[in-house]
Amino acid sequence: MSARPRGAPSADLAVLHPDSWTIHFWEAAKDHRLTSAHCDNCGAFRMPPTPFCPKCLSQETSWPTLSGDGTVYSFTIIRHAVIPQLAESVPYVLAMVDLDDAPGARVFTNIVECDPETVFVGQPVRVVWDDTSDEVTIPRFTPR
Amino acid sequence: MTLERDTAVVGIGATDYTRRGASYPQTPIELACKAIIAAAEDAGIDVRDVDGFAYYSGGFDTGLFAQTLGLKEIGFSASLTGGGNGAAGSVGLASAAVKDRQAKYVVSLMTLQQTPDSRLGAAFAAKSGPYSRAPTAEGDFVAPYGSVAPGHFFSMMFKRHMHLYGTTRDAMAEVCISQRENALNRPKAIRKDPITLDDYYAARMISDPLCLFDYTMESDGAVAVITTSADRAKDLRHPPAYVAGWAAGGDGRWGKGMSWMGMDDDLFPTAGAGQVAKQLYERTGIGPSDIDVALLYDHFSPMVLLQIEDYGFCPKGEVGAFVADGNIRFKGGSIPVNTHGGNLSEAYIIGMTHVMEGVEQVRGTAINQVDDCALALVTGGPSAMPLSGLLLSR
Repeated sequence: MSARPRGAPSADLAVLHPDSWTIHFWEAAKDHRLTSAHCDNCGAFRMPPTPFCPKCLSQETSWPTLSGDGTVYSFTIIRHAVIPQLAESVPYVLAMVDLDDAPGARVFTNIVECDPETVFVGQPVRVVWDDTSDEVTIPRFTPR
Repeated sequence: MTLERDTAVVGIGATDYTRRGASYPQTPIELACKAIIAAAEDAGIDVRDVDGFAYYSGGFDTGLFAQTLGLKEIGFSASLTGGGNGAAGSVGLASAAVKDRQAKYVVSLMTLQQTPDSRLGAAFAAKSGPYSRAPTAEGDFVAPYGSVAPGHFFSMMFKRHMHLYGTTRDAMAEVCISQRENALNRPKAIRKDPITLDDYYAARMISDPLCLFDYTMESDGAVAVITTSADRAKDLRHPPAYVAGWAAGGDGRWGKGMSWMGMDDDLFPTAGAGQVAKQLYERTGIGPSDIDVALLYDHFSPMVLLQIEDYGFCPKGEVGAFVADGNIRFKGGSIPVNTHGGNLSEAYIIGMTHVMEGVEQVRGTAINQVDDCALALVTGGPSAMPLSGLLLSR
């Protein structure tokens, strides 16, 4: 395990409850590989992973390795801890990031390793890996 | 216009509203029954003639109501799915039950008591305690990022609107300031200190760009309304508030809305209510210019702004200028909004106060009465499906 990224919220929140569709994403993350559900029938991406492609209803799904590049779609700087586990985490940047090489896949994430005040909509970012425990790795993003 | 006049809201009742937890040691069922009894008295019927319940946000225990109030028979009991999104639509559900002759007097209600063990605004990440929520596979893509409460989602929705259209915090401030002004003369309102623009900008930032005033409050209380047929309504105590139209649905591309955030760019910076507005307007033949007062669900101030656009009171992207011109003010506004103070300033009973205010406005008995008010729009939501809208007419 490497040091956690600066600006990542408490590792207490990194508890996973995968089902048979989402497990592929989290297993890839553990290998520090960013993926998205990809429909093998029509090529559409979808996140989070669901049992059917909403475009063509196919269940044929693959899990390509993505570049890890993304773009900030929107964000908020959270300054108040709504639960005690976040008391030491504020302020932190919560963001929606569009994955550049998986059109249609947008993920919740944090923008880390930077001054929260410098984050902006449209900012180019790349994935960094946060090993929150021996079992769990969470993808977060940093300006590139 | 093809406004329906088959059913009407004929009774409204409410308890006092208090800050979170202060309604104890009354019980939630006690609060609810007080509101139901008050609504029956307002209508001029025997409460034991209530024979139907049309709920939202999970609903309540109809059997316990029957047992507690000594109801004679039940003909209908159902709930819309989701949460506060269904507030307005629950009256539509009641209307549908009456029209289909499943029941004669159908109650829609909300009762809320937020004790230390039971509070709203559940956090996705809390494993236990007052804000805990059951974990899910979908939630794994949300909670690990410290994205644990509704305000976090709504902040990002509005941030995108600010980015696309240049909207500023001034627009949210105008919602907070105008609604607070509407609450000042209301005896039951919880928040009655005026807010200035300076106060707004001095407030603690919670989830940038949303500050303390942009969030609703945690409160206790109960509100009930009774819907019946137009024929029965004629003989009751007050002029009927006809259910002129209602819709409960949404755009399929909205999906799980704020707890997904994958919507296309034309939908993301909205309240998700555009499809419901379209359904409502197509079914009734009315347009936004026909509406005299808008009671828009306001758990967060930006969602008032986005509903103003979704319901067509101003063009998409222009709500900042629209509210800056005073258009949502009770005094002098082109479309007075939340004349009762809303969830933000009167009390947060998950949208049922908006239904009550809509009824009072078309009766002509509201505290902040809009002149010659013929048609009131009441909304529930955003964000879960189905979003809902209700038109009440005199």
